[in-house]
Formats: sequence, C-alpha cells, structure tokens
Amino acid sequence: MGYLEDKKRARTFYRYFSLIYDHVNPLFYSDEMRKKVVDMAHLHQGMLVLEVGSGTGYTSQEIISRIGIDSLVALDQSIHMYMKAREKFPLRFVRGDAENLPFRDSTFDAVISAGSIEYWPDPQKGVSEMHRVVKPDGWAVIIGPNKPENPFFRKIAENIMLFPETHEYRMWFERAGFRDIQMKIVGPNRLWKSLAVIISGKK
Amino acid sequence: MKRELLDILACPVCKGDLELEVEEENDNEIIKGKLYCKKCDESYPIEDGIPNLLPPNLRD
Repeated sequence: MGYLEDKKRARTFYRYFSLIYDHVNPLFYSDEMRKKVVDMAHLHQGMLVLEVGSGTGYTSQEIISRIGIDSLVALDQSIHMYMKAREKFPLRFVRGDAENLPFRDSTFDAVISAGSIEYWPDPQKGVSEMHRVVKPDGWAVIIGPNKPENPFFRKIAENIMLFPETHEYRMWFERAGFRDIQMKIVGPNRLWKSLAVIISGKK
Repeated sequence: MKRELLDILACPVCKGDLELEVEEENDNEIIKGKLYCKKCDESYPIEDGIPNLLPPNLRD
C-alpha cells in the first residue's frame, strides 16, 4: 500500500499540503484537463452534481462556472482543503469518505471526482458508491493518474499512492455497473501527455 | 448546513435515513447539531455548519 493510501495519514498530509496545494497542483492538472473532465459529465442547468474529493475547489470552480453554485454538493475528508475552497466560494460541503458516500441512492444527475481515486484504498468500492448515488442515465467521471511507463518512476510513484493501469479503471467501472464507458489519456503539457486518465460511464 | 441537504443525506454505513437534532441554527443554516442514524445507533456531528459524515472509524 502506498504511503498516502492510509486515510488518516493522507488527511494529515493534506492538512499541510493544503497550504501550498494551489501552487503545486497546476503542474499536474491543467485548466484544459479540468475542462475535459467536466465536459464528460454532460452537465446542464438545473442538475444536481456531486463532487467526490473536492479539495481546494479547483474542479468545483469549473462545475459552478457552468451550472451555478447551488447545483453542486462537494464532499471531502479534509477540512483543511475545504477551508481553502471556502475562501474562494461558499460551497455546499459535506465532510465524508469516497468509499462510504453519505447520500441516498440515485440522488445526483452527475458525479465527478478529480484527483482523488489515487488515495482510495479500495477503488472498486469508491467507484461502486458513485454508481449507487448517481441517477439512472446520469454520468460519472473520474480523473486519476496513469501508471508511469518508465519503471524507475513507476516504483517511486507506487510507494506514494495508487497509480492504476487503464484496464483497471475500466474494470472498476464495468464491475460497478456503468455502461457506455469512455476513456481519455491526458496530460498537462507536451512532455507529460499521458500523465492522467479520464474515465466516464453512464448508469 | 442548510436544512434541505437532509433530503439527500444518508448514513454513510447503512445508507438509512438520518434524524436531525438541532442545537444551534441561524436564518440560513444549522450551525451545530447532530444527524442520528437509528439503525446503527450512531450520531454524526454538525459543527461550524459542516456535517461530518465520515464513518465513525475514520473520524479524527
């Protein structure tokens, strides 16, 4: 298990990481990437959207710029990351765990999770929870890291957190019951064209 | 948290309904209180307006 897959450890890490997060994150997660993520959720006005692992609100910002702040419910484990988001806009926030979502079945028109799955000890459970809370015909979208091709970087990466292979993302979505599964390999710049995977599926 | 949020919340463990107990509320939202799951006999706190629905074993 990677160092940050222990949830309490990850939370302590984020308590301090939250202070610099908004300066570091754009290196790995660009504006173009976040636009693609939100595009794949097929949002429109009047929808109710859940964001799992809302962090400092980088992806939340893109969601609310499209369909308004009242359309979003944001969930995160870390109160410190949320405080950073709160400085930017008054999110509707619930503190909770991705693998144990505190929502009723078939509640949301779409569910989005950006850069969170790499901290889930049981990704299948988290993906299945997204499936449970999204309405029939609603989309779920996840962006997470792609396994590095270089074996040296792969070894380093795996000691920190989870770097799934594309077939694993697909398997989790299939087993959760999603259909029309689509995948995109993306990166923040020309050197890192395959840093991340975006996967979407319909309930 | 706003009262309407209760319509979509569920117990993170058994996914059952939650009962709201308000301790402090202003014009907009509930500042302090509890969300109680009868089935699990577990209370989830609302503090500073934020509902903490982490499963009990993941709380601080």
